[in-house]
Amino acid sequence: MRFAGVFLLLAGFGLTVAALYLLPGAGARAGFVGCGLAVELFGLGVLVRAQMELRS
Amino acid sequence: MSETALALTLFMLALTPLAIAGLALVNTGLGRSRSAAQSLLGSMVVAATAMLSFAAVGGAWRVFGAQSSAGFFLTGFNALDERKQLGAIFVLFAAGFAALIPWGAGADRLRLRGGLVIAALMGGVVVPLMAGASWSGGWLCSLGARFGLGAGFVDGAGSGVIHALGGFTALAMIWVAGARKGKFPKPGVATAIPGHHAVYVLFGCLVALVGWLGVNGAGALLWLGVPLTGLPLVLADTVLTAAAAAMATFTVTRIRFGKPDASLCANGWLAGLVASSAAAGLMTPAQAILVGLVAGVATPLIVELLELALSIDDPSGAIPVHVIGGLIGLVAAGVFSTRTGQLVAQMVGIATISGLALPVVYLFFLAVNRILPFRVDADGERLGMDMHELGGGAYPEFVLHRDDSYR
Repeated sequence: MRFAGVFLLLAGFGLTVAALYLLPGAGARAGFVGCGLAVELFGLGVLVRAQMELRS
Repeated sequence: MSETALALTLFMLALTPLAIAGLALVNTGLGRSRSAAQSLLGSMVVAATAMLSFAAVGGAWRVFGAQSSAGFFLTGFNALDERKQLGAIFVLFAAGFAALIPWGAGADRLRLRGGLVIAALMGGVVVPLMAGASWSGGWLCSLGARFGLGAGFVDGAGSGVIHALGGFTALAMIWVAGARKGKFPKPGVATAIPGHHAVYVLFGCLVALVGWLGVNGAGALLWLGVPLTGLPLVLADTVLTAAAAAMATFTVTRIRFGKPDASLCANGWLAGLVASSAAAGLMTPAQAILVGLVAGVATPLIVELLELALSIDDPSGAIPVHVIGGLIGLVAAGVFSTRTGQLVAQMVGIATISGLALPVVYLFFLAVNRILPFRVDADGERLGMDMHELGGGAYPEFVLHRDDSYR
């Protein structure tokens, strides 16, 4: 599960970079950068949850 | 660069080690008395290792500008112009500063060799790469020119490059090394392990303020393009953010616990300083106070969240102070900017630190921990880090209290 969290963190960063290079409009770019951060936040949550489960 | 600007930047850089000294004092005071000598010695050697690692390897990462690199062991340092030399010295201190953050979070269980491995990684790879991207014409810095996102990623004195990065590294280290024995006896229950010396902690905060004035001043001159006439605003923003944050934490802990909490107030003060680092000199004094208030209110709440809900043992408050404070500063630099797209540029910078640096560092630590365990063995933890790693304590004439958690 912790590797899923790591993957989501990296995927969020990839989404952010992809938004910059692939999207021409400022609004769409900002939206996808926000989505990338949301994916990273989700990945961080998964990682925290995985660490708590490992401990218990 | 004029001679006056050169002299002032040098003076500001000369103050910077006081921020490292202050943070080392805070980290030592927040740990136990039987680990005090190891903590302070560790702060010295961890900072030294990070700076040596930067000098050996970090200089080859083109952190002094896209057109010139100093190479391994800073071989081309003398050939750089004075602005790039000053920039290199700034990144040198930044590497030592950032490496102290995970060291403090590992108090009472992180071995010296673990701290040195982390410091070598921070100084040789992680900090120079982020510094190169953010400060020296790198891809984050050029987001404005290439994609029309404001002035590009703004982080004058390292809210992100030093503090959020160091804080996320601390989080990865905490996950790999685990919590102190007795900290979480049952799920959802956290034992309070108070720091052993509130005077160290609070004096360290005051020392850190002087160092931070230097860090923020030098950062604003070198990386934000603030003119010499803008330095008074940089210093005012720094002091006001810290003051507002400390008073906010003072008030929140007074309301929540009935009395103000010294260690949390110290964390609030530091969180304010961290939050000021991104945009000191670009904010008005009123905006700086607002940023400080947000950081100061968030700090005690995040400490509680980490301990009670997430079972994260962070003795020095690395995550609330450096991660949350750093992120607040970075967001503030976007929110208070009048340039179009600046907030998006700040979000891209945050996404890079959390989405690239955190997972890479975490995977590296998992691998290294299998070969060189970060955590001291159970006997060492019972004896204390001073006796186990140094063979003698910081306070040999004092009688140390028995630790009831080991009954």
